[in-house]
Amino acid sequence: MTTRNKSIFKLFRPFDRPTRLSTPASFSDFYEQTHLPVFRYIYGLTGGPQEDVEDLTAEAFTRAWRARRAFQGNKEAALGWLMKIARRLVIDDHRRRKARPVTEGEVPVKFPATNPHPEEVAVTGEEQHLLWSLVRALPDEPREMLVLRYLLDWRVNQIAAYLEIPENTVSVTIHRTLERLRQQWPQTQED
Amino acid sequence: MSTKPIEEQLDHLQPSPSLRFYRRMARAAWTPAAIVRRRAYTAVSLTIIFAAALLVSIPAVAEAMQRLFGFIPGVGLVDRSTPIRVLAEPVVVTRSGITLTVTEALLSADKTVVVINIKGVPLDAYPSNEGDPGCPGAARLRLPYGTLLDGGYIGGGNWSFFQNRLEFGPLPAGVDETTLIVGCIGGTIPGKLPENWEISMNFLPAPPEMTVNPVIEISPSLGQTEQAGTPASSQSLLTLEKYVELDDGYILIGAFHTLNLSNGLTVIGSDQTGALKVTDANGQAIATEPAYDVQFPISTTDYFPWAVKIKGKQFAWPLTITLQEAMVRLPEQQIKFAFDAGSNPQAGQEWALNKDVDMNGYHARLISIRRQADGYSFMLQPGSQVVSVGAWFEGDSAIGSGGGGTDSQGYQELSYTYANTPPAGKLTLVLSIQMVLVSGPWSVTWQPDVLPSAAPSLQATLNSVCVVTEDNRTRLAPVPAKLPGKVLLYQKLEESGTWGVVFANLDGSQRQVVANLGNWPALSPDGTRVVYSYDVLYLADLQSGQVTALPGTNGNDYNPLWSPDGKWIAFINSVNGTHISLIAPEGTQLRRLFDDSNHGALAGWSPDGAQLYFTAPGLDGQTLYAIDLATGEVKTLFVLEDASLKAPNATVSPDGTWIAYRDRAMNVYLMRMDGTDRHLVASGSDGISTIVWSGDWLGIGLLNFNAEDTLVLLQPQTCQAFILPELHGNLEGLRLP
Repeated sequence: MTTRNKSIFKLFRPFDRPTRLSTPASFSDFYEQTHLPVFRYIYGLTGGPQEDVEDLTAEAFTRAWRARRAFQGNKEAALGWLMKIARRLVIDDHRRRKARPVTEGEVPVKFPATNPHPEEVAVTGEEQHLLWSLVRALPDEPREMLVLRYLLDWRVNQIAAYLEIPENTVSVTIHRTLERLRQQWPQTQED
Repeated sequence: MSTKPIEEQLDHLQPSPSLRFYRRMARAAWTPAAIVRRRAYTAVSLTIIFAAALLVSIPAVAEAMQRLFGFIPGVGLVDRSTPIRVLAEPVVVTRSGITLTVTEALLSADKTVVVINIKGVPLDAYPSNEGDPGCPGAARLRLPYGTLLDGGYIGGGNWSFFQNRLEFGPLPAGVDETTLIVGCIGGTIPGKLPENWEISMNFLPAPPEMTVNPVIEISPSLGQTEQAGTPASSQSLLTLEKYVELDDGYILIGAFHTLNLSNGLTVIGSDQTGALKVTDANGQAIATEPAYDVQFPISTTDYFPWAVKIKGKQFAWPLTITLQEAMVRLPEQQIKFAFDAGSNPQAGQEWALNKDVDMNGYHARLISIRRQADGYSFMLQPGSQVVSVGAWFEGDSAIGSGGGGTDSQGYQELSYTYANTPPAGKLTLVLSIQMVLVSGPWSVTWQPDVLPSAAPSLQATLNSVCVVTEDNRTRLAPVPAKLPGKVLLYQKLEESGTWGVVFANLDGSQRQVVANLGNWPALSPDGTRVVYSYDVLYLADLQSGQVTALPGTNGNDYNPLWSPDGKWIAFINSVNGTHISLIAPEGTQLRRLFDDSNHGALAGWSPDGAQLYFTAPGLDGQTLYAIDLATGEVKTLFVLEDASLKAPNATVSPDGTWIAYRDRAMNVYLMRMDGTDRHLVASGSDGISTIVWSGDWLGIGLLNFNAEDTLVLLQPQTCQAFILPELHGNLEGLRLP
């Protein structure tokens, strides 16, 4: 079992002190601490492409900046608030795209840079490509749970709190979704 | 294809923004140009400081410090050079079901603080598009002759009820009444709720019994530099400028002066905790917490104020306050080199460059550039204390970037990928040292002018021993070896890699896996059976190991809770709504008690088994309810003040006299079952996982983001506390002799 070492919660110290976002300095810190999880969250929800994800991430922070005075809570709540803004943007963006026809091949699919430590990169580009396409094909809710669980490394109880559903539902859904991915994953020829 | 588990493959999906994204965000409104950081995530493991997020700008602080200051809990530092005035009486205004209550106000020579509670804001008053900021929520004070004081804000995110603390400039001495004007409630849809609120307030001289703790100036400030370290650190300074004696401890207020981290260097940090440590004369760590009440001037490039609250008064004096290290962001500075990649560079081609970069006394070297199939990678060697180096081609259009971490040999590799053909020919290479670590320690040693008397007051003892904090929990004794007792845990099982249920002794011995997959376990009152959830409810017999699904449970049942006599199991069913239900352990007599649309959670039973308690979010906050099992009637008991809306983890003691719950700031509070006597028993800076009772003992799981959770036993009445060092996971059940 590999050690999980990239939890976003480990990126910075306690997440649960009251926080303010109203000054440029505090918002700037908030941006620095949260842009990566927010980027990954949007990437996971949309499946790319990179440019669109970056646009949505930038837009999410811009909206949060405009609405910053309305926010009260601790940093955990702040990240949740920001991610809800991001999710709303993804949904709106999706609706807009649906409303206008997209030509086949218009959206270039470019998969992002992988884990920075080469010795940890155990997954080939081809496998990543396949995995992303499987993840993209999942229904919205299980996909979001999987993204939170694995791309952002949240705990089940954190996911349940964020999505405001029982933990049991989260763990069961994740369990079943993994089972589904396992079944879709090509088997090795060895047996 | 790889045979690695799918979870592990998912783990490796770690997309990162491109260089272009970071450049774009560097121009965002909130981002000073100096904060351009291409490798924003390289330095994440370093400890750092200072509460930029908590700082509020108060001009002319240096001058203000000359005046006579006092400290009022909840208000902060106040100027006492004129008599302090307070609100004559609370003022309540209700319109269309929304209630604004001014509960407190305080007028001093330097400011006016107004505390206001807002209740009853319907959730549909907030825009469904959460990016929509809604009403601006400005609050102002109108003085009798028409002058308006700006500066307040009323709004509560997306909550129905909330409290705002408004701060305005000082009111003239003769003004004893004023009107608070609120255009609309911040964040709500304009026009949806009543607008243009006016609340009249009257003020009186503060009563003589009001506590204003004197702020004792230390003049000159205490401070010293203790370590030569790097040239930069030798001239930096940690100082202690003043302190406040409280009933249960002290507040220390000081600053970190970066005397020659000169020319725009910025100490990075977003949190006050973690970096400052307080130790006693024997080197033992002292429990502290951030002093949120103290408001600071905003930090400048060479002055970073801090304030900590020390809990308790009985120490081996003097105390030493230490800052171990500071991470600083260098001012944006670049060095450019011409680089010729040739007209047709090939993948695998490598250019050895060995270019040295010296900036602000720090050093880094670009060892080489290597052409990849779809881009370039840069091999860098950051010098001593350098945390992050940027390297890129000027004006390039890379779509992805990776790397940045320093490997075990001290090298750092950055790579860029391009959508189309990577650039070639004559290029301009840009190098920049972005972040460095400055090592301390910087420390200052202090003791109060008058040492507290040796006999501690009861209050001080209770607070210093009865509240488990992040700092003191590491010093708690392990639970006595021979203490018999059992725990029920939800944890990741080494055997199967799944999350399941384990039953064990307090020291971790006689570990028994109850379920490989399952959650929400509950131990029967006689300790022989466990009920848990995995879609349906299962009953496990601990002696025989036999597991049976409870007939009559279905779909999504969770949160089971045994009645005190073990004859009933209450639980929640969440198929087609949420229903609080009751079933006998035999799987018979299923009975739906209450349809709870608010997604409540069960909190416990009365000792006689006649009442079942649950919590659910109401308009005034997380509320405790009781179901009378004889009549089916549901009674509203009281609001759990400031309880977490999402997961209060409320749990009633077996004798029915106390309720423990988690607040929004990850603390555990106790309250009597009549809603009185609310007091703190534990604060978990990284979070609280679970709260359980056994007799009058509390078991609390404190989360640690960087390590296993800490499980603590606490007896709130006698203030005995132990840790359970051998146990990990969520503490779901406890059975002490």
